[in-house]
Amino acid sequence: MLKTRIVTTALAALVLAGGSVGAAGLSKGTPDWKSAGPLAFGPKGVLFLADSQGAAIIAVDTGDVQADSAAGALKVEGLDEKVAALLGTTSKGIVITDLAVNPASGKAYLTVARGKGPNAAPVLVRVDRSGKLEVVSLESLPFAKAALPNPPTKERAKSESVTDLAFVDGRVFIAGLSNEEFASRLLSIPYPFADSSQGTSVEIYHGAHGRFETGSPVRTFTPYQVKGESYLLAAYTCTPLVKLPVAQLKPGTHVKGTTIAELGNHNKPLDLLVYQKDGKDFLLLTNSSRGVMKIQTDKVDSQEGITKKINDTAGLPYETIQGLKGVTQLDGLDKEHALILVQTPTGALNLETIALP
Amino acid sequence: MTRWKRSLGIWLAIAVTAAAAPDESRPGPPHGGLVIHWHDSEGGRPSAVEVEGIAPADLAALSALSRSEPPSFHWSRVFPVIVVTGDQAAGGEERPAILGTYRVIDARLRFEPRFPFEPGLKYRATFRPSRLPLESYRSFKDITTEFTRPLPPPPPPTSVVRVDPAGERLPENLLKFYLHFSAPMSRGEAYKRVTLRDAAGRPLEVPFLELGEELWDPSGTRLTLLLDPGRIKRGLKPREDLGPILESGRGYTLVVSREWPDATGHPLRESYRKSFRAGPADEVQPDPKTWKVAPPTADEVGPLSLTFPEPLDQAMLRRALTVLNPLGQEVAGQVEVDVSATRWSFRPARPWLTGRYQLVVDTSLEDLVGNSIARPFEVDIQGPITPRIESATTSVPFEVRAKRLP
Repeated sequence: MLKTRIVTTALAALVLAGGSVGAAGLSKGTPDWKSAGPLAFGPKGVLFLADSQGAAIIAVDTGDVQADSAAGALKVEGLDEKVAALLGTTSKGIVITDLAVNPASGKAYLTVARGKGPNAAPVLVRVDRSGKLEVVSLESLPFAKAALPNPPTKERAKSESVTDLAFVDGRVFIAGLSNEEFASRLLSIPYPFADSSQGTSVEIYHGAHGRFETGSPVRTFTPYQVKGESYLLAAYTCTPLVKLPVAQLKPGTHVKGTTIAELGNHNKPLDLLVYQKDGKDFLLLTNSSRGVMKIQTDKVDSQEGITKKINDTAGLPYETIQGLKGVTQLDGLDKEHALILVQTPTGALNLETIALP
Repeated sequence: MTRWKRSLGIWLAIAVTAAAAPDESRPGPPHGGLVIHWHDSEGGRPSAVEVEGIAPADLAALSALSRSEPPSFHWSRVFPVIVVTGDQAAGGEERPAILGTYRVIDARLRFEPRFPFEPGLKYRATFRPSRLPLESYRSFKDITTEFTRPLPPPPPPTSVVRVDPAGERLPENLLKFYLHFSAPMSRGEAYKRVTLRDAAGRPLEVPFLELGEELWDPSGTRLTLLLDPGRIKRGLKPREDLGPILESGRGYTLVVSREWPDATGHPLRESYRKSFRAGPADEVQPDPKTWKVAPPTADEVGPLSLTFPEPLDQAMLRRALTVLNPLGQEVAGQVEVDVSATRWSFRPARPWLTGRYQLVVDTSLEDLVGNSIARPFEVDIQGPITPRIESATTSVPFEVRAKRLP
């Protein structure tokens, strides 16, 4: 079993956007984006960028709301070299930090660190269906910024990394990890960001076979609907996959979540994607050691929490998708396809479209 | 291909006389031909590359075309600048042009890359007059020049300064290492460059929690390396299948490879090895009631010292404790933590006053295995009930007395 404690007293997220607040709380300007990290899309082409170094979530209206007219599969071979070429360097000089597809346009967005040291510049790259790469300038775009608690300072060596973020039911959920204390933190900020929107920090404990309860950071998560209710499916750094009901993640309440699967050894989930096929829901999970796993989720709502020891990977049934090795990033492209970033045996990174299995 | 030499100044000029002799009676490039200048990013000036020799009237007209909405002319088609890699020398595919801005300044076409030219990389600028929408330039051949910003002299090699925790005997449920470097390091390579080896020198299989975003401090000189919590926590599959990472009684060595490049791309001075022996698991939460407090003396600036029965988290100790004076105000001063992280001391900026002070302790302060004052790393819910502290801080009072006269 998993117990969730919501702490509101210590953490508050403040909106920092300057100027007059326009539609949806965004105002035109150039956000001070300090570091590349996870990204996620909200409605109507609004993009959320997690900035660990700037201790902020930046919401940007990309204006990218027209469906890409080019047909066919999105594919870019040697994506890392091509992005590096645009940025005047080689693939050794960049790190691709995350990939997300804008559901409004079907175009892919990547966050890229240009440089490898602490001063690496963040860059947003857009890839259209024809494979054309374009650096998206954040100059003079409608944006808003919500500050995360505990910004790093020169005096303090503590910093908070964002491991994942998602927009669900009007809130941005952010999973984070500190470089000092080991604690599970899930922050939620209502969007549009209010003048002093209250970030809700959720402390999560999950059980192991009904006996030990521990706190552990969430590594990746994805929103998910069961019978009209929103959940987060979260993969922990120590492997359990848990279900958290979004509606109950409110300040001052105790939430019981459920461990629905334990993924086993060396199974470090990198990305999660929920999709429908033949009227059933499936979860696709990329994984550092086992490749891509497909998990049936039609039993998620009835799945009892794992409370006793099971010999093999416990909980939901799953299969490993053969032929998909080296997948480092994953996102849904449309109803039938997913977009993956794959590392080839030679080390190059390819962006590829795959049919959802 | 035109060869270039780096001049003493920061300007490099390559004069290329266009192959077709211009007819002076019509507009077009002046008689002197077209020249490409490379501009290094020294002295706070941006990197740039410029073409000189296009007639000012033509430049103005082209500029206007490039600014029209939508632009009917793109400078990047006429004057692309690329990074040249090894595979291009071997006839590989042309790389996309570098992102940057084109402007006309002082009768020159100027390209400023978004990021400065990187030392050691070869850049190529090609000016293609035939692609200009001007008849008079059609007969001119392309001119191409290359530029490499020289590598600066290598900085003093970066080294591992120390690894925390420092002890030679560490609990088998150890949660993390802090690696301290003498200069900022490159990101994205940590899990390739650090290994944990058993007594026979064999690397352990995936002992660390490998995160997409490595846990660096803001200066890039301290990395937090978490041991895989799935193999520390009891009752989870990774530990049940593979066993714990460290086992009491056995010897291990943490090895940091010399090959790990620092932020400037240079390898470390030398590999670093930290050998230790694993001891029994630590399942006891830190408890301020067990700390030995050595109070300072009034009117002096001698330290307030604490001694802990076990090592605590070296990094968190530097920020988790605050001293309040008898009026409840925070006392400014200097914190010191000894290498073993069992002793913490605080020297005030001004002499201590007589009275009752408070040491305020952040209850998130952890020991080496992730047990904090507030909560243990894991709770055995079938075992005895573990107290859970809900408050963010707890206080340890201490009395500052006047100095006793001899």
